[in-house]
Amino acid sequence: MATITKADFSPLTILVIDDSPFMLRLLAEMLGGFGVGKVLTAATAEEAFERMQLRSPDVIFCDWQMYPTDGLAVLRRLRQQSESHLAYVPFVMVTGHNANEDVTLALGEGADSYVVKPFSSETLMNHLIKVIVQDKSHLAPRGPQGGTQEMWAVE
Amino acid sequence: MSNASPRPSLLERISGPKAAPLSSLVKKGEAAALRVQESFGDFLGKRIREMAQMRLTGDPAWDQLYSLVVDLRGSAAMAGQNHLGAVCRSLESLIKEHVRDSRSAKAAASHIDALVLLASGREDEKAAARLAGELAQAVARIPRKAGL
Repeated sequence: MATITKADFSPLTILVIDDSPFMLRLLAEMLGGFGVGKVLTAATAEEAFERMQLRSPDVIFCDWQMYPTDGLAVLRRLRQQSESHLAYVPFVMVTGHNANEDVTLALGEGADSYVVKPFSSETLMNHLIKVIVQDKSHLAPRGPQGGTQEMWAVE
Repeated sequence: MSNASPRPSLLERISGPKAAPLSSLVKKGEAAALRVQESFGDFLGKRIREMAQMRLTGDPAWDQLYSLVVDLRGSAAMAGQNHLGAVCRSLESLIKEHVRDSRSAKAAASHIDALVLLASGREDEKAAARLAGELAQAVARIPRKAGL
């Protein structure tokens, strides 16, 4: 894996999904501190999907323990949208559980990384860099027509 | 208009000329986290009130309480309030592993009372551990769910 020592996150849009106002703000502020250009927040799964209709995020951080729709359900719904770019967006599961079976379950459902609370700013950065390095979403089809590569729109 | 090149990867997009050392970005993230952690007390008070007002009359309510307590434990740990963790873990065990009846509801209420006490800041780590131990003993007396 490439070693990254420098980054400019300002071109990125990251979506944070968490039903805890404290964690939502904490994650959003930490990512803002990293210099992420646009941090979108959603307190429920439904709000998250509404936001994603308007603007597709580059990376998603999602809390597992949400009610009534949890992070695993959000992940499954995303990964089932095989004709959409959203099926390939890097997804980091955020959780209070660190049992092996939970990690296996989340990764098996298509999470790209798994971060356990409490975590430091450095740990958050490591997970962000990891999913960015591993990312293949730029090769994914976009929109309902599918296709193997999207043309890069220049405004 | 569209050009002929494929969309750049995320790695390419973060590798621009304005790229800064990750160590300095981590420090900025840390400073931002510290600012937010100062507001944890307000969140804690609201969350405990929300839990105390819940009526545990069916599985959806128990499941919602579970979601709230897992979140509270994680948030408290993020804010450096680790003394809340043991009581939260005991309550999680009660909800996940034990039958859900009136005895469980009373035990859940005792856990929430303990959280109120700990949130007041009047009890030290030792008292928190003692409280969590007593609550865990009460939970152990409640029958476990079948198959667990």
